Amino acid sequence: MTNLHAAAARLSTDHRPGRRWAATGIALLAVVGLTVLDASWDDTLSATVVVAPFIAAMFAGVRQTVAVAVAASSSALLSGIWNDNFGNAGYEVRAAIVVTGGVFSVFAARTREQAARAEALGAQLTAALSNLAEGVVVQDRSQRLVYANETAAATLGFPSVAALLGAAPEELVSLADYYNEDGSPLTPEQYPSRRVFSGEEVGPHTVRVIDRATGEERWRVNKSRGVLDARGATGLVVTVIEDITEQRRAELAPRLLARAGAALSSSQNYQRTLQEVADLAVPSLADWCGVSMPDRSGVIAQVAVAHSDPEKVEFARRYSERYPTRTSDEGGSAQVLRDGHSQLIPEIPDALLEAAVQDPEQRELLRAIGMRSAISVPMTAASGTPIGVISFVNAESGRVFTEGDLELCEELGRRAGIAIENARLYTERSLIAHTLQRALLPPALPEIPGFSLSALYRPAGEENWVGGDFYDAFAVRDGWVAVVGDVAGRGAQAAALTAFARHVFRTAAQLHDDPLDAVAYLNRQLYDRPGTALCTVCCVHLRVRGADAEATVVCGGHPLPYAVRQAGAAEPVGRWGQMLGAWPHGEWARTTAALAAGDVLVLYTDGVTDASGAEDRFGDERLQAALCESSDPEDALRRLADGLADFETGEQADDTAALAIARGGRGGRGAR
Amino acid sequence: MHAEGSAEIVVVRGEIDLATADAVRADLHTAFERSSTVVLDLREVEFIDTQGLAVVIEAQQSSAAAGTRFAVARAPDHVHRLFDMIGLSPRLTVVDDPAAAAS
Repeated sequence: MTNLHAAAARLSTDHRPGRRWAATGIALLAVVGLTVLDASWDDTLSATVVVAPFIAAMFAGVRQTVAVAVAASSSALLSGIWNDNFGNAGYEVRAAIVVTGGVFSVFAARTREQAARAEALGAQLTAALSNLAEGVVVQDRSQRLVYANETAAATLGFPSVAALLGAAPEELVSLADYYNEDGSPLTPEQYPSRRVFSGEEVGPHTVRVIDRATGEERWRVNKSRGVLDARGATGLVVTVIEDITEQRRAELAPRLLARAGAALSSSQNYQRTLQEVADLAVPSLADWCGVSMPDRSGVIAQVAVAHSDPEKVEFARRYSERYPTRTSDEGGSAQVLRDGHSQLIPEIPDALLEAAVQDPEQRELLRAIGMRSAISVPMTAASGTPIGVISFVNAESGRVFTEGDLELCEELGRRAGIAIENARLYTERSLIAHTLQRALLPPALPEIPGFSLSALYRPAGEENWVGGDFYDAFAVRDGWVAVVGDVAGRGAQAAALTAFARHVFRTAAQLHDDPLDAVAYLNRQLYDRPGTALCTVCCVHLRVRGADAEATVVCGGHPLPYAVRQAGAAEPVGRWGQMLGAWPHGEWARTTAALAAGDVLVLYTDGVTDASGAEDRFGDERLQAALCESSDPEDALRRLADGLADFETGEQADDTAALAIARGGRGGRGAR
Repeated sequence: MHAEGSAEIVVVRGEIDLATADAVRADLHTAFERSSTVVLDLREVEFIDTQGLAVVIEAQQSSAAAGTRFAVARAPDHVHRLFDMIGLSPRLTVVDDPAAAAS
């Protein structure tokens, strides 16, 4: 309150000082005149001097009134002394009348001045409030507005303060739809003023307001505070209404674009990404957001749809299945897709719906949505070709799209287009990698007469950029050769090296009768390549020996294969030899072992033994245990794969390849 | 990586695989630029795969070609078993204490 007093004191500086002094002058003249008259006519007029302070009280300030009152009283007293020293009876009474009148005048002047100050303060404060950029309204306990400034009237959509103050509370609410920041409708219980009256402390409350008549969207922050009456109850609520629409719009675009950008760059799965973008647009930008892309059959398929109500999302899915849009359709998405021009329909008249949709049932479904305003923008690839359409629809909010919204939507479309193109390139690259990877392996394992064969190949990661494991099996002059290898390195270079190793080895093995020569030849070829070209191989030369077979194993830096004997035990076969490509010369060893009918020989890469589990690596012992009692090649690899699946935790780190061979036809031995 | 006398010691802990091989390769490269004696301290290596073996082989090859000294400080047995398997062991200088190699 001190501040108010200070303000009042500052305001009290009279803006008409002339009048004050004139009144004071007249009052003093009256004192002098009446005193002279009184002195000359004797005892007839002395009490009338009280008129002087009355005049001062009515028009002059407190101090002037005091001066006049003192002057009048002094004059009355002097006049009494002058005239026979109060000898005349009644002089005391007349003097008392003048003194009392003077005191009364002073109080009157003071009250008048205070009232004037208060009035001036009120007027000034009101002027200050009405000029405020924020709207201010004051409500009493009955929720009626008792005060509003001009900004409040304008913000709430009234031509004048008087019109606003005259409006019933229901009328106020019926002009617009109110939503909370999260898109939920604002219920009367949530009104800040109501909550303040019920004794709650209410912080700033952001409200989205859609004008029912114009569909214009505004954002406001309401700050409500209670004013306590003399008994300490909330008698009034003052609400400051700030219109933050411009600020909000200025923020929405960069915020939405930044978040969409993050979503678009984070994932290679563009369908999921588009759904994220659609979700971002709802409800801050639109009630509905849908993304459609043409498929090969000419249908513009809905790939993402968002609405704050899941049931409506479901409705949209069913609707688009039932009434698919085709690229050949007139207008709408098809048109946007054809010419790449965005469309803004601020208000959708029913006539447009009538004209665009022939099927009455479909029209009814669309009517039920209550579309009011729509935007369709193309998703454009870097080349400028539209590859899809993003549609934004406002329905139940009644909001009308503006040119500003269109610009934002177009930007979203551009960014989404580029992201999708990138994702497509990525998918294509994955496909190339996959194709290359397949090319590193034989298209299908050959039928080897008298032997059965099975292979396992697990590249690391679903979309892994080609790895370095390979296997092969081919005929040589006096039998067959099967090989499993692993090239060090990753990426395109490793892929090229893998292809090189496989083909060089195959050619060398077919030209030389001895696998040892093929290994030495590949070593030299790798060593002579520029840069480091390292590779491990394990090859087996298979020759039929009656009902059984003979397997000659040569290993170059590769783990030894296992022979699973008919009795069930798995034992390693062969001897270690040096890795290929590391050194110009080397010694590798041939190990020839009998492969009886029913024995299974398993070649594998270190992706098997290096597979990591919860605590350690799969290792030789687990592999050996898994392979025991394998009945045929297929069974052996199934056991190996099951063993790995049970053991492995997390993502597979390395490629895994395995090849199993047995003398005899597939399943020739039957199950154990 | 640190210097010990005139030698550069590259210490590796944990795993040398696809994820870490390039970092070890880069460290070895720097070490060879700084000194003619480089020790790869593998005492705390738990796992090494084909990519890791390639790094050790490359270091061994380039030191042999340049006439510099390269040694590894003894790794756990299962890692040496891999060195044996690929024929690296006979070509590799193995020391028990990296500081000893430096003197």
